Amino acid sequence: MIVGTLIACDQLGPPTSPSAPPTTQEVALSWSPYVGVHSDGRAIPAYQDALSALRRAGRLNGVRMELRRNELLDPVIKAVGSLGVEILGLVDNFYLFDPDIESAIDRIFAAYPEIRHFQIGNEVTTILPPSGPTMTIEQYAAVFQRVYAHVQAHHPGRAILLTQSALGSGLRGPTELETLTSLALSRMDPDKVIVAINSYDPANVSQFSGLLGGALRPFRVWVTESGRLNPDEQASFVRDEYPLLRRFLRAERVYWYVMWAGDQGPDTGFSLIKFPVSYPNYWKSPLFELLTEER
Amino acid sequence: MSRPRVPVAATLALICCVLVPATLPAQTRPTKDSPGGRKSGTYLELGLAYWQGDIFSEGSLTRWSGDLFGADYALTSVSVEVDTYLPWGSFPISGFAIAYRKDAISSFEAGHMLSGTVFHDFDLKVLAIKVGGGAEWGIPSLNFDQTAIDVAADGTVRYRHTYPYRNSTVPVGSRPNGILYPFLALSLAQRPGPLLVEFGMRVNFIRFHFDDYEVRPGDQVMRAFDERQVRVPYLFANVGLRLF
Repeated sequence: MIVGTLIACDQLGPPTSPSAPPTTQEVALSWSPYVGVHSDGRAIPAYQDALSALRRAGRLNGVRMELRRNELLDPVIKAVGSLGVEILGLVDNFYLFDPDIESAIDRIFAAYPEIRHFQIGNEVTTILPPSGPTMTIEQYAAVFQRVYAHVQAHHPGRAILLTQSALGSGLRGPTELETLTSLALSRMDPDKVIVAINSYDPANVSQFSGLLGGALRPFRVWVTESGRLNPDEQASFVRDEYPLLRRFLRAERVYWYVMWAGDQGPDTGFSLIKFPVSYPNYWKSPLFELLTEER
Repeated sequence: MSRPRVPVAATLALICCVLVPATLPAQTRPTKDSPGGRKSGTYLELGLAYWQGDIFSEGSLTRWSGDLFGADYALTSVSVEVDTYLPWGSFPISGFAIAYRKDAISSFEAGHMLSGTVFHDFDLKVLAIKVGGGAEWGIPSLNFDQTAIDVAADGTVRYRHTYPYRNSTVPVGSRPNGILYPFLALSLAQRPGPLLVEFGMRVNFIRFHFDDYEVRPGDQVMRAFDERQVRVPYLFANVGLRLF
Protein backbone atom coordinates (compact mmCIF):
# COMPACT_ATOMS: atom_id res chain seq x y z
CA MET A 1 0.00 0.00 0.00
CA ILE A 2 2.88 2.36 0.80
CA VAL A 3 4.35 1.83 -2.65
CA GLY A 4 0.97 2.49 -4.20
CA THR A 5 0.64 5.69 -2.23
CA LEU A 6 4.10 6.82 -3.27
CA ILE A 7 3.42 6.23 -6.92
CA ALA A 8 0.04 7.90 -6.67
CA CYS A 9 1.45 11.09 -5.23
CA ASP A 10 4.33 11.01 -7.68
CA GLN A 11 2.18 11.19 -10.79
CA LEU A 12 3.21 13.61 -13.47
CA GLY A 13 -0.24 14.86 -14.33
CA PRO A 14 -3.34 15.96 -12.52
CA PRO A 15 -5.04 13.22 -10.50
CA THR A 16 -7.79 11.47 -12.37
CA SER A 17 -9.65 8.33 -11.62
CA PRO A 18 -8.88 5.69 -14.25
CA SER A 19 -12.55 4.84 -14.38
CA ALA A 20 -13.70 8.42 -14.90
CA PRO A 21 -14.64 8.83 -18.54
CA PRO A 22 -13.31 12.01 -20.10
CA THR A 23 -15.78 14.78 -20.60
CA THR A 24 -16.13 16.83 -23.75
CA GLN A 25 -14.68 19.81 -21.92
CA GLU A 26 -11.65 17.88 -20.66
CA VAL A 27 -10.87 16.53 -24.09
CA ALA A 28 -11.36 19.91 -25.73
CA LEU A 29 -9.01 21.49 -23.21
CA SER A 30 -6.19 19.08 -24.01
CA TRP A 31 -6.80 18.47 -27.71
CA SER A 32 -4.47 19.86 -30.33
CA PRO A 33 -6.36 20.60 -33.56
CA TYR A 34 -4.11 18.59 -35.86
CA VAL A 35 -4.59 15.13 -37.37
CA GLY A 36 -2.70 12.86 -39.71
CA VAL A 37 -4.59 11.82 -42.84
CA HIS A 38 -3.63 8.91 -45.07
CA SER A 39 -4.19 9.51 -48.74
CA ASP A 40 -6.80 7.09 -50.08
CA GLY A 41 -9.18 8.14 -52.83
CA ARG A 42 -11.91 5.79 -51.57
CA ALA A 43 -12.15 7.83 -48.40
CA ILE A 44 -12.55 11.29 -49.92
CA PRO A 45 -16.31 11.73 -49.19
CA ALA A 46 -15.93 10.47 -45.62
CA TYR A 47 -12.79 12.56 -45.12
CA GLN A 48 -14.60 15.66 -46.33
CA ASP A 49 -17.51 14.96 -44.03
CA ALA A 50 -15.42 14.09 -40.97
CA LEU A 51 -12.85 16.85 -41.40
CA SER A 52 -15.61 19.39 -41.96
CA ALA A 53 -17.32 18.23 -38.77
CA LEU A 54 -14.10 18.67 -36.83
CA ARG A 55 -13.57 22.05 -38.40
CA ARG A 56 -17.09 23.21 -37.59
CA ALA A 57 -16.52 22.17 -34.00
CA GLY A 58 -13.32 24.18 -33.90
CA ARG A 59 -11.23 21.03 -33.44
CA LEU A 60 -9.20 21.10 -36.65
CA ASN A 61 -6.64 23.56 -37.94
CA GLY A 62 -4.38 21.32 -39.93
CA VAL A 63 -3.55 17.87 -41.22
CA ARG A 64 -0.38 15.96 -41.98
CA MET A 65 -0.38 14.12 -45.31
CA GLU A 66 2.25 12.15 -47.13
CA LEU A 67 3.51 13.41 -50.49
CA ARG A 68 4.13 10.09 -52.19
CA ARG A 69 6.87 9.75 -54.73
CA ASN A 70 4.77 7.75 -57.16
CA GLU A 71 1.97 10.31 -57.24
CA LEU A 72 3.13 13.87 -57.66
CA LEU A 73 -0.29 15.50 -57.68
CA ASP A 74 -2.46 13.74 -55.13
CA PRO A 75 -6.20 14.44 -55.53
CA VAL A 76 -6.88 13.55 -51.90
CA ILE A 77 -4.47 16.25 -50.73
CA LYS A 78 -6.14 18.73 -53.03
CA ALA A 79 -9.59 17.70 -51.77
CA VAL A 80 -8.55 18.02 -48.13
CA GLY A 81 -6.81 21.30 -48.81
CA SER A 82 -10.00 22.70 -50.35
CA LEU A 83 -11.61 22.45 -46.90
CA GLY A 84 -9.38 25.29 -45.76
CA VAL A 85 -7.19 23.29 -43.40
CA GLU A 86 -3.45 23.84 -43.27
CA ILE A 87 -1.45 20.94 -44.66
CA LEU A 88 1.87 19.67 -43.36
CA GLY A 89 3.36 17.83 -46.32
CA LEU A 90 5.33 14.76 -45.37
CA VAL A 91 7.92 14.18 -48.08
CA ASP A 92 7.98 10.41 -48.66
CA ASN A 93 11.07 8.60 -47.36
CA PHE A 94 11.77 7.28 -50.86
CA TYR A 95 12.43 10.81 -52.09
CA LEU A 96 15.47 10.81 -49.79
CA PHE A 97 17.28 8.39 -52.09
CA ASP A 98 16.74 10.58 -55.14
CA PRO A 99 20.21 11.61 -56.39
CA ASP A 100 18.66 14.89 -57.53
CA ILE A 101 16.47 15.61 -54.54
CA GLU A 102 16.77 19.34 -55.25
CA SER A 103 14.77 18.94 -58.46
CA ALA A 104 12.28 16.75 -56.62
CA ILE A 105 11.76 19.53 -54.08
CA ASP A 106 11.24 22.01 -56.96
CA ARG A 107 8.53 19.75 -58.40
CA ILE A 108 6.84 19.30 -55.02
CA PHE A 109 6.81 23.04 -54.38
CA ALA A 110 5.31 23.62 -57.82
CA ALA A 111 2.65 20.94 -57.34
CA TYR A 112 1.57 22.14 -53.90
CA PRO A 113 1.79 25.93 -53.74
CA GLU A 114 -0.74 25.87 -50.89
CA ILE A 115 1.62 23.93 -48.60
CA ARG A 116 4.09 25.87 -46.47
CA HIS A 117 5.35 23.25 -44.01
CA PHE A 118 7.24 20.27 -45.38
CA GLN A 119 8.53 17.41 -43.29
CA ILE A 120 11.53 15.76 -44.89
CA GLY A 121 11.06 12.06 -44.17
CA ASN A 122 9.63 10.18 -41.22
CA GLU A 123 11.33 7.71 -38.85
CA VAL A 124 13.84 7.13 -41.61
CA THR A 125 16.10 4.76 -39.72
CA THR A 126 13.35 2.42 -38.55
CA ILE A 127 10.41 2.13 -40.94
CA LEU A 128 12.11 1.62 -44.28
CA PRO A 129 11.79 -2.06 -45.23
CA PRO A 130 15.10 -3.92 -44.91
CA SER A 131 14.55 -5.39 -48.36
CA GLY A 132 14.91 -1.96 -49.94
CA PRO A 133 17.32 0.92 -49.46
CA THR A 134 17.78 1.96 -45.85
CA MET A 135 19.30 5.04 -44.31
CA THR A 136 21.38 5.95 -41.27
CA ILE A 137 20.86 9.18 -39.38
CA GLU A 138 24.22 10.39 -40.68
CA GLN A 139 23.08 9.84 -44.28
CA TYR A 140 19.80 11.54 -43.47
CA ALA A 141 21.62 14.56 -42.02
CA ALA A 142 23.46 15.00 -45.31
CA VAL A 143 20.23 14.83 -47.31
CA PHE A 144 18.42 17.22 -44.95
CA GLN A 145 21.30 19.65 -45.26
CA ARG A 146 21.06 19.54 -49.05
CA VAL A 147 17.32 20.19 -48.98
CA TYR A 148 17.75 23.02 -46.49
CA ALA A 149 20.49 24.66 -48.53
CA HIS A 150 18.49 24.34 -51.74
CA VAL A 151 15.34 25.82 -50.24
CA GLN A 152 17.18 28.77 -48.70
CA ALA A 153 19.05 29.44 -51.95
CA HIS A 154 16.28 28.94 -54.49
CA HIS A 155 13.02 29.33 -52.55
CA PRO A 156 13.80 31.79 -49.76
CA GLY A 157 10.79 32.32 -47.50
CA ARG A 158 8.77 29.70 -49.36
CA ALA A 159 8.73 26.93 -46.79
CA ILE A 160 9.42 25.86 -43.24
CA LEU A 161 11.13 22.47 -43.06
CA LEU A 162 10.51 19.82 -40.43
CA THR A 163 13.07 17.21 -39.57
CA GLN A 164 12.25 13.55 -39.87
CA SER A 165 10.38 12.42 -36.78
CA ALA A 166 12.57 11.05 -34.06
CA LEU A 167 11.13 8.16 -32.09
CA GLY A 168 9.71 9.66 -28.94
CA SER A 169 10.72 7.24 -26.20
CA GLY A 170 13.71 5.17 -25.31
CA LEU A 171 17.25 6.05 -26.30
CA ARG A 172 17.29 5.68 -30.09
CA GLY A 173 15.26 8.74 -31.02
CA PRO A 174 17.05 11.16 -28.70
CA THR A 175 20.47 9.81 -29.66
CA GLU A 176 19.68 10.18 -33.36
CA LEU A 177 18.37 13.69 -32.78
CA GLU A 178 21.62 14.52 -31.00
CA THR A 179 23.54 13.30 -34.06
CA LEU A 180 21.29 15.25 -36.43
CA THR A 181 21.80 18.34 -34.30
CA SER A 182 25.57 18.12 -34.36
CA LEU A 183 25.75 17.28 -38.08
CA ALA A 184 23.12 19.66 -39.41
CA LEU A 185 20.68 21.51 -37.16
CA SER A 186 23.31 23.42 -35.21
CA ARG A 187 24.21 25.27 -38.40
CA MET A 188 20.63 26.05 -39.47
CA ASP A 189 18.35 29.00 -38.84
CA PRO A 190 15.83 27.98 -36.15
CA ASP A 191 13.25 30.23 -37.78
CA LYS A 192 13.31 27.98 -40.83
CA VAL A 193 13.35 24.52 -39.28
CA ILE A 194 11.03 22.78 -36.82
CA VAL A 195 12.04 19.68 -34.87
CA ALA A 196 9.60 16.77 -35.22
CA ILE A 197 9.10 13.96 -32.72
CA ASN A 198 6.69 11.03 -32.78
CA SER A 199 5.66 10.21 -29.24
CA TYR A 200 3.19 7.59 -28.12
CA ASP A 201 4.61 7.36 -24.58
CA PRO A 202 4.82 10.88 -23.17
CA ALA A 203 6.00 9.84 -19.72
CA ASN A 204 9.26 8.50 -21.15
CA VAL A 205 10.72 11.40 -23.06
CA SER A 206 13.28 12.54 -20.50
CA GLN A 207 16.22 11.96 -22.85
CA PHE A 208 15.02 14.82 -25.05
CA SER A 209 15.11 17.39 -22.26
CA GLY A 210 18.81 18.18 -22.40
CA LEU A 211 18.79 18.61 -26.18
CA LEU A 212 15.67 20.76 -26.22
CA GLY A 213 17.11 22.95 -23.48
CA GLY A 214 20.55 23.04 -25.04
CA ALA A 215 21.47 23.09 -28.71
CA LEU A 216 17.82 22.91 -29.80
CA ARG A 217 16.61 25.59 -27.40
CA PRO A 218 15.70 28.09 -30.14
CA PHE A 219 13.94 25.48 -32.30
CA ARG A 220 10.19 24.87 -32.24
CA VAL A 221 8.95 21.33 -31.60
CA TRP A 222 5.98 19.59 -33.17
CA VAL A 223 4.83 16.13 -32.19
CA THR A 224 3.87 14.78 -35.58
CA GLU A 225 2.38 11.49 -34.41
CA SER A 226 0.75 10.50 -31.16
CA GLY A 227 -2.25 8.50 -30.04
CA ARG A 228 -3.53 5.32 -28.51
CA LEU A 229 -4.30 2.10 -30.36
CA ASN A 230 -7.43 1.22 -28.38
CA PRO A 231 -10.39 3.36 -29.53
CA ASP A 232 -11.92 3.18 -26.06
CA GLU A 233 -8.79 4.77 -24.58
CA GLN A 234 -8.30 7.50 -27.19
CA ALA A 235 -10.16 10.19 -25.29
CA SER A 236 -8.41 9.37 -22.02
CA PHE A 237 -5.09 9.55 -23.85
CA VAL A 238 -5.88 13.04 -25.09
CA ARG A 239 -7.01 14.18 -21.67
CA ASP A 240 -4.13 12.67 -19.72
CA GLU A 241 -1.16 12.41 -22.11
CA TYR A 242 -1.41 15.38 -24.47
CA PRO A 243 -0.67 17.77 -21.58
CA LEU A 244 2.49 15.80 -20.84
CA LEU A 245 3.69 16.19 -24.44
CA ARG A 246 3.35 19.93 -24.11
CA ARG A 247 4.83 19.97 -20.65
CA PHE A 248 7.93 17.89 -21.32
CA LEU A 249 8.62 18.50 -25.01
CA ARG A 250 7.12 22.03 -25.25
CA ALA A 251 5.20 20.62 -28.19
CA GLU A 252 3.56 23.48 -30.00
CA ARG A 253 1.37 21.07 -31.94
CA VAL A 254 0.38 17.44 -31.51
CA TYR A 255 -0.90 15.54 -34.55
CA TRP A 256 -3.21 12.62 -33.80
CA TYR A 257 -2.18 9.47 -35.66
CA VAL A 258 -4.45 9.04 -37.63
CA MET A 259 -7.85 9.89 -39.11
CA TRP A 260 -8.15 6.48 -40.78
CA ALA A 261 -5.54 3.72 -40.66
CA GLY A 262 -7.49 1.15 -42.67
CA ASP A 263 -10.44 -0.96 -41.57
CA GLN A 264 -8.10 -3.79 -40.58
CA GLY A 265 -4.44 -4.14 -39.77
CA PRO A 266 -2.17 -3.34 -36.89
CA ASP A 267 -2.82 0.41 -36.82
CA THR A 268 -6.57 0.42 -37.32
CA GLY A 269 -7.18 1.10 -33.61
CA PHE A 270 -5.72 4.59 -33.99
CA SER A 271 -8.47 5.54 -36.43
CA LEU A 272 -10.91 8.31 -35.64
CA ILE A 273 -13.18 6.98 -38.38
CA LYS A 274 -13.49 3.57 -40.05
CA PHE A 275 -15.30 2.05 -43.02
CA PRO A 276 -15.22 5.32 -44.98
CA VAL A 277 -16.59 3.61 -48.08
CA SER A 278 -19.84 3.26 -46.14
CA TYR A 279 -20.22 7.03 -46.20
CA PRO A 280 -22.42 8.54 -44.88
CA ASN A 281 -22.74 5.68 -42.40
CA TYR A 282 -19.08 5.34 -41.54
CA TRP A 283 -17.90 4.43 -38.02
CA LYS A 284 -16.77 7.18 -35.67
CA SER A 285 -14.57 6.58 -32.63
CA PRO A 286 -15.64 7.75 -29.17
CA LEU A 287 -12.94 10.43 -29.33
CA PHE A 288 -14.26 11.69 -32.64
CA GLU A 289 -17.77 11.83 -31.19
CA LEU A 290 -16.52 13.87 -28.23
CA LEU A 291 -14.58 16.22 -30.47
CA THR A 292 -17.53 16.91 -32.74
CA GLU A 293 -20.16 17.13 -30.02
CA GLU A 294 -22.28 20.26 -30.16
CA ARG A 295 -20.99 22.86 -27.74
CA MET B 1 -3.38 22.23 -14.55
CA SER B 2 -4.55 21.42 -11.07
CA ARG B 3 -1.99 20.64 -8.47
CA PRO B 4 -1.61 16.97 -7.55
CA ARG B 5 -3.16 16.13 -4.20
CA VAL B 6 -0.67 16.39 -1.38
CA PRO B 7 -0.42 13.42 0.93
CA VAL B 8 0.56 15.65 3.84
CA ALA B 9 -1.26 13.49 6.36
CA ALA B 10 0.44 10.38 5.06
CA THR B 11 3.82 12.07 5.16
CA LEU B 12 3.34 13.32 8.72
CA ALA B 13 2.09 9.92 9.83
CA LEU B 14 5.14 8.31 8.36
CA ILE B 15 7.44 10.78 10.06
CA CYS B 16 5.70 10.15 13.39
CA CYS B 17 6.07 6.42 12.92
CA VAL B 18 9.75 6.96 12.39
CA LEU B 19 10.38 9.39 15.23
CA VAL B 20 8.14 8.23 18.07
CA PRO B 21 9.69 4.81 18.63
CA ALA B 22 13.07 6.46 18.54
CA THR B 23 12.29 8.82 21.39
CA LEU B 24 11.93 5.97 23.85
CA PRO B 25 15.41 4.54 23.68
CA ALA B 26 16.70 8.06 23.31
CA GLN B 27 15.73 8.75 26.91
CA THR B 28 18.61 6.54 27.95
CA ARG B 29 22.15 7.77 27.65
CA PRO B 30 23.57 6.69 24.29
CA THR B 31 26.67 4.58 24.09
CA LYS B 32 29.82 6.56 23.49
CA ASP B 33 32.52 4.96 21.41
CA SER B 34 35.39 7.40 21.11
CA PRO B 35 37.65 8.54 23.93
CA GLY B 36 36.07 11.98 23.75
CA GLY B 37 32.67 10.48 24.36
CA ARG B 38 31.57 10.80 20.75
CA LYS B 39 29.68 7.96 19.15
CA SER B 40 31.16 7.13 15.78
CA GLY B 41 29.91 4.63 13.25
CA THR B 42 28.65 3.94 9.76
CA TYR B 43 24.92 3.58 9.14
CA LEU B 44 22.86 2.23 6.29
CA GLU B 45 19.76 4.35 5.93
CA LEU B 46 16.51 4.21 4.03
CA GLY B 47 14.64 7.41 3.48
CA LEU B 48 11.57 9.10 2.17
CA ALA B 49 11.47 12.62 0.81
CA TYR B 50 8.60 14.84 -0.11
CA TRP B 51 8.88 17.78 -2.46
CA GLN B 52 6.32 20.43 -3.12
CA GLY B 53 6.65 23.77 -4.82
CA ASP B 54 4.91 25.72 -2.12
CA ILE B 55 6.42 24.21 1.01
CA PHE B 56 7.47 27.74 1.85
CA SER B 57 5.03 30.01 0.22
CA GLU B 58 5.17 33.76 0.50
CA GLY B 59 4.36 34.84 4.00
CA SER B 60 6.06 31.90 5.59
CA LEU B 61 8.83 32.37 8.11
CA THR B 62 11.46 32.25 5.42
CA ARG B 63 9.69 34.78 3.21
CA TRP B 64 10.75 32.69 0.29
CA SER B 65 8.36 32.32 -2.56
CA GLY B 66 8.16 28.81 -3.90
CA ASP B 67 6.72 30.13 -7.10
CA LEU B 68 8.13 28.16 -9.98
CA PHE B 69 5.73 29.30 -12.64
CA GLY B 70 2.93 28.28 -10.36
CA ALA B 71 5.13 26.03 -8.25
CA ASP B 72 3.12 23.19 -9.58
CA TYR B 73 5.32 20.30 -8.71
CA ALA B 74 5.03 17.65 -6.07
CA LEU B 75 6.76 14.33 -5.81
CA THR B 76 7.85 11.70 -3.40
CA SER B 77 11.28 10.12 -3.42
CA VAL B 78 12.90 7.12 -1.80
CA SER B 79 16.56 6.90 -0.98
CA VAL B 80 19.29 4.69 0.32
CA GLU B 81 22.22 6.30 2.05
CA VAL B 82 25.42 5.41 3.87
CA ASP B 83 26.29 7.86 6.66
CA THR B 84 29.60 7.82 8.46
CA TYR B 85 30.04 9.65 11.78
CA LEU B 86 33.73 10.21 12.30
CA PRO B 87 35.32 9.47 15.69
CA TRP B 88 36.28 13.09 16.06
CA GLY B 89 33.64 15.76 16.10
CA SER B 90 35.76 18.77 15.34
CA PHE B 91 34.31 21.58 13.27
CA PRO B 92 33.50 21.79 10.41
CA ILE B 93 33.34 18.15 9.32
CA SER B 94 32.25 15.41 11.67
CA GLY B 95 30.88 13.02 9.09
CA PHE B 96 30.04 12.34 5.48
CA ALA B 97 27.41 10.50 3.47
CA ILE B 98 26.82 9.13 0.03
CA ALA B 99 23.30 8.51 -1.22
CA TYR B 100 21.18 7.35 -4.11
CA ARG B 101 17.72 8.88 -4.39
CA LYS B 102 14.99 7.76 -6.74
CA ASP B 103 12.67 10.60 -7.64
CA ALA B 104 9.60 9.98 -9.78
CA ILE B 105 9.23 6.41 -8.59
CA SER B 106 7.01 5.40 -11.48
CA SER B 107 9.57 6.47 -14.10
CA PHE B 108 12.40 4.16 -15.06
CA GLU B 109 14.16 6.70 -17.29
CA ALA B 110 14.44 9.72 -15.04
CA GLY B 111 14.85 10.70 -11.42
CA HIS B 112 18.10 8.89 -10.61
CA MET B 113 20.27 11.03 -8.33
CA LEU B 114 23.58 10.40 -6.57
CA SER B 115 24.87 12.72 -3.89
CA GLY B 116 27.80 13.27 -1.60
CA THR B 117 27.44 15.21 1.66
CA VAL B 118 29.73 16.43 4.38
CA PHE B 119 28.15 17.46 7.65
CA HIS B 120 28.72 18.55 11.18
CA ASP B 121 26.49 17.27 13.98
CA PHE B 122 25.99 19.33 17.11
CA ASP B 123 25.22 17.00 20.01
CA LEU B 124 22.41 18.41 22.15
CA LYS B 125 22.24 15.27 24.34
CA VAL B 126 18.61 14.35 23.51
CA LEU B 127 19.26 14.69 19.82
CA ALA B 128 21.73 16.15 17.42
CA ILE B 129 21.42 18.92 14.92
CA LYS B 130 23.09 18.10 11.63
CA VAL B 131 24.14 20.81 9.23
CA GLY B 132 25.54 19.69 5.94
CA GLY B 133 26.09 20.42 2.33
CA GLY B 134 27.19 18.70 -0.80
CA ALA B 135 26.58 18.09 -4.46
CA GLU B 136 24.08 15.97 -6.32
CA TRP B 137 24.34 14.52 -9.81
CA GLY B 138 22.07 12.47 -12.01
CA ILE B 139 19.12 12.43 -14.40
CA PRO B 140 16.48 14.68 -12.90
CA SER B 141 12.83 13.91 -12.67
CA LEU B 142 10.54 15.46 -15.24
CA ASN B 143 8.26 16.64 -12.46
CA PHE B 144 9.95 20.03 -12.55
CA ASP B 145 9.36 20.57 -16.27
CA GLN B 146 6.41 22.81 -17.00
CA THR B 147 4.94 24.39 -20.11
CA ALA B 148 2.07 26.84 -20.21
CA ILE B 149 0.54 27.48 -23.62
CA ASP B 150 -1.86 30.17 -24.69
CA VAL B 151 -3.44 30.37 -28.13
CA ALA B 152 -4.85 33.76 -29.07
CA ALA B 153 -7.87 34.30 -31.28
CA ASP B 154 -5.67 35.39 -34.18
CA GLY B 155 -3.75 32.12 -34.03
CA THR B 156 -0.72 33.46 -32.19
CA VAL B 157 0.71 30.79 -29.92
CA ARG B 158 2.60 31.82 -26.79
CA TYR B 159 4.22 29.41 -24.43
CA ARG B 160 6.67 29.34 -21.56
CA HIS B 161 8.77 26.27 -20.89
CA THR B 162 10.40 26.03 -17.47
CA TYR B 163 12.82 23.26 -16.64
CA PRO B 164 16.05 22.42 -14.82
CA TYR B 165 19.04 23.18 -17.01
CA ARG B 166 20.93 20.02 -17.88
CA ASN B 167 24.51 21.02 -17.17
CA SER B 168 26.09 17.59 -16.96
CA THR B 169 26.22 14.30 -18.77
CA VAL B 170 25.23 10.89 -17.55
CA PRO B 171 26.76 8.32 -19.88
CA VAL B 172 23.43 6.88 -21.04
CA GLY B 173 21.49 8.23 -24.00
CA SER B 174 21.67 11.67 -25.54
CA ARG B 175 23.80 14.47 -24.15
CA PRO B 176 23.50 16.56 -22.08
CA ASN B 177 21.02 14.63 -20.00
CA GLY B 178 22.28 15.17 -16.46
CA ILE B 179 22.29 17.79 -13.82
CA LEU B 180 24.77 18.76 -11.10
CA TYR B 181 23.92 21.16 -8.31
CA PRO B 182 24.87 22.03 -4.74
CA PHE B 183 22.62 21.70 -1.73
CA LEU B 184 22.41 22.50 1.97
CA ALA B 185 20.67 20.34 4.55
CA LEU B 186 19.51 20.80 8.13
CA SER B 187 18.17 17.93 10.19
CA LEU B 188 17.51 16.53 13.63
CA ALA B 189 19.00 13.12 14.31
CA GLN B 190 18.97 10.56 17.09
CA ARG B 191 21.19 7.51 17.29
CA PRO B 192 19.74 5.22 19.96
CA GLY B 193 21.66 1.98 20.17
CA PRO B 194 22.33 0.64 16.71
CA LEU B 195 19.56 2.74 15.16
CA LEU B 196 19.54 6.13 13.52
CA VAL B 197 16.51 8.28 12.88
CA GLU B 198 16.65 11.59 11.15
CA PHE B 199 14.20 14.21 9.97
CA GLY B 200 15.07 17.36 8.16
CA MET B 201 14.97 19.61 5.20
CA ARG B 202 17.23 20.01 2.26
CA VAL B 203 17.42 22.95 -0.13
CA ASN B 204 18.79 22.27 -3.60
CA PHE B 205 20.19 25.14 -5.62
CA ILE B 206 19.13 24.25 -9.15
CA ARG B 207 19.59 26.40 -12.23
CA PHE B 208 16.34 26.65 -14.19
CA HIS B 209 15.64 27.88 -17.69
CA PHE B 210 12.62 30.08 -18.34
CA ASP B 211 12.03 30.06 -22.08
CA ASP B 212 9.32 32.15 -23.71
CA TYR B 213 8.20 31.65 -27.30
CA GLU B 214 5.69 33.54 -29.38
CA VAL B 215 4.74 32.19 -32.80
CA ARG B 216 2.59 34.47 -34.90
CA PRO B 217 0.66 33.44 -37.99
CA GLY B 218 3.12 33.14 -40.84
CA ASP B 219 5.70 31.52 -38.59
CA GLN B 220 7.12 34.73 -37.17
CA VAL B 221 8.87 33.58 -34.02
CA MET B 222 9.92 35.68 -31.03
CA ARG B 223 11.97 34.16 -28.24
CA ALA B 224 13.06 35.37 -24.81
CA PHE B 225 15.28 33.12 -22.74
CA ASP B 226 16.14 33.56 -19.11
CA GLU B 227 17.79 31.43 -16.46
CA ARG B 228 18.23 31.72 -12.75
CA GLN B 229 19.02 29.65 -9.73
CA VAL B 230 15.97 28.40 -7.87
CA ARG B 231 15.97 27.08 -4.32
CA VAL B 232 14.09 23.80 -4.39
CA PRO B 233 13.43 22.42 -0.91
CA TYR B 234 12.20 19.07 0.27
CA LEU B 235 11.49 17.37 3.58
CA PHE B 236 13.01 14.03 4.37
CA ALA B 237 12.91 11.31 6.99
CA ASN B 238 15.49 8.54 7.28
CA VAL B 239 15.83 5.43 9.40
CA GLY B 240 19.13 3.60 9.62
CA LEU B 241 20.97 0.71 11.15
CA ARG B 242 24.55 0.81 12.29
CA LEU B 243 26.77 -1.34 10.12
CA PHE B 244 30.04 -0.95 12.04
